[in-house]
Amino acid sequence: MALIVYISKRVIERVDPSIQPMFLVSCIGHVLLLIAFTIMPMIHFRSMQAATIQTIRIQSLGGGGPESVELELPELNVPETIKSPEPIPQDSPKKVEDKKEEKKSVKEEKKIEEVKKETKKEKKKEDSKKQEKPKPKEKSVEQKIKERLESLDQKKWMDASQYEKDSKKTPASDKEIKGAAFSSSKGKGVSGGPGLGGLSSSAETEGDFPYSWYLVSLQNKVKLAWDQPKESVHNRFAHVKFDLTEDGSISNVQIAQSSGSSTFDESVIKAVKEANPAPPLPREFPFSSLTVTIIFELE
Amino acid sequence: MRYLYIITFLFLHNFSAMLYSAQQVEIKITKRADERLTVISTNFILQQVPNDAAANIKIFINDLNYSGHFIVSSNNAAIDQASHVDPKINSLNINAWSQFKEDIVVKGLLKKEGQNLILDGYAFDRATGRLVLGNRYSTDLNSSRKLMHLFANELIMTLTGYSGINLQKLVYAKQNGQNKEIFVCDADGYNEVQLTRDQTLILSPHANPKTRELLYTTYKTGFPVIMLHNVNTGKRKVLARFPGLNVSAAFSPDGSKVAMVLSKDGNPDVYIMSINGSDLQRLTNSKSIDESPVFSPDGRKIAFVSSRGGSAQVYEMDLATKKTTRLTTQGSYNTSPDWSPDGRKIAYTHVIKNRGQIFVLDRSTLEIESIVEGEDPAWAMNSRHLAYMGYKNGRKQIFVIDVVTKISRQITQSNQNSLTPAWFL
Repeated sequence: MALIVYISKRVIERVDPSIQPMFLVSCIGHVLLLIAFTIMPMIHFRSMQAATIQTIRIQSLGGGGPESVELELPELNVPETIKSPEPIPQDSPKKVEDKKEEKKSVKEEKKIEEVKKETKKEKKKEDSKKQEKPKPKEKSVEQKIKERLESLDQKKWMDASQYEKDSKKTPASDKEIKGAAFSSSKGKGVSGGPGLGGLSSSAETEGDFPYSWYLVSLQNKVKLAWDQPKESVHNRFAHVKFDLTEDGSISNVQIAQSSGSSTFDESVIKAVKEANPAPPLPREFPFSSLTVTIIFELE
Repeated sequence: MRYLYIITFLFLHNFSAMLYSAQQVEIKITKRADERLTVISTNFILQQVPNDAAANIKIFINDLNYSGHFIVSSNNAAIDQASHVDPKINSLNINAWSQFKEDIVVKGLLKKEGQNLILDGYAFDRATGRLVLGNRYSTDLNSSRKLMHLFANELIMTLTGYSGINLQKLVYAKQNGQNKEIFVCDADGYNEVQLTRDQTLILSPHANPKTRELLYTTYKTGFPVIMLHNVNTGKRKVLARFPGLNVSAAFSPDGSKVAMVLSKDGNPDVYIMSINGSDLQRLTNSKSIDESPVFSPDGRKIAFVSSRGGSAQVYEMDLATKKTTRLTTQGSYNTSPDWSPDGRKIAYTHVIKNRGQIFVLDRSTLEIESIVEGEDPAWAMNSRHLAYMGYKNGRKQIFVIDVVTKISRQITQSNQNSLTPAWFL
């Protein structure tokens, strides 16, 4: 507090004596608070990254007497680079990176930029820069190899998105198109397109969360907990929205788009709640939470 | 000027909010067949490791396969070729793996350092090369199996959120001539150790979920008594020695109470008692036989079997209100219930024509699902795997099954009968 008052006095003296002191105090206070809020979670991240030694004690049986083996698990920081996504099929991950960069440049604030450098975001930045450099070389190689796949997958993706739009109108034709999305998706993983088998990520968000394996796991767990209602339902879709934290705990479960049937809606809410805790968020995911919308479809 | 400050301030506020607000993702679910993650396990790199190292990798792959979460491809020529192109252990060259369809690539380096074995285990997202898991595990030279189980458990947890069962143990009664003794082994059947040498009949072991204590019924004194056995210290204590039957003892989840079946007041009824032998309380008082009590994971209820309705069925009792509810309705002989640690399911044995079939009952919907032929189901800590007694070549053996995929694994390979498994720390 004394620091704030001191700084504001100096500012008033030197810069603009007409500023009301209390206003300046509040401004500086807020900025400091803001910085504190910005830095603290990042420090948390760094501490998680740092090599910590967990000791796991496993006791072995030895004819009744106590015996124990201590296993030390230092978490390895990954030396060298973790290869960044190749820019092959569609550009979605790149686009997102670019957007982030734009945001950063528009919102230039020196202090915050400094802080940001400490975070994993920095990694991402670097990655994206690395990505940009080798792009022209790799493109030619990679694209030749995967061109066909890409075009095929894009078509199917179009089909799949089209399907989502048309689904309410023509439910009869769903299964075939869905099947296509289902089969094409597997190998592609992150790159966008249909996303994953049996689930499709929406176009504008897919790049934000490039961990396809995580979505498969999450989907499996929720699916397992879902008891499909047996009564016939007019609308076969229900959208549920919820928040996930780092440790996989689920909160704020709510219907984002009702099916119109309370039994169906209840069944999907129950499924998501029973899937709690979900798998912990990927270690490298730079955010502390994730909002997920799941669209449940009755067969 | 003032407004400029205010605008800047609001701007900053929004910006920080954007930084830490949740990212969004949308997924779609239909109730189709369970789709498992696919995993490539490369051959681990070995450095000065004893001969049995190659076998160790199989332990790891088995753990993943039997978890029911993954489809594991391993050890074929294409994988070896890709590993050759991409020899670095701590990164993934995605070009080398572009021909594959699997979700995850696992790499490992096993080496000997002094008297220790060290495993550096890595898992990568095959499509993006991102690191999923990277840990170092170390143990003494004789515990190489544990090293593999540890890595498998961590990988299962990271990828699925389920705890792996590979470091748990199984305790069971095994025939030894005319007698039955208590044995314990690893979750994959290795390292079997005999715990009792009473040279008599010992039945139905049950383990405290948090300590290394066992309850079982032994005929050592000529008639059945309930014994509390601390495996760490080897100390044993008779917990119940009432006239008649003293059987079917089960720990409460916090280990402070014991549910059991006594016939001291006539026909067999369910009782609970504190672990130090005090506060004996009679729970059921019917003229029919009541047996096989087991606590719910919150400790507030017990499930038990009663023939009060004319046939043996599974009931539950609320311990506070003593209100009793019948849970099973099908068949004429349902027995040996076990409550899943997440509280949602009860597994039991459904007997038809002298053959047991394991069923799982959904506690909230009361729907039942047939799992596998066998008896005496016992839930693992992950509420997904069941240990049970099944038949192989006419012998009773212990198996473990994943109730979701129904992938089953034979645990005991003995030429003696093994039965009544329970999970153990």
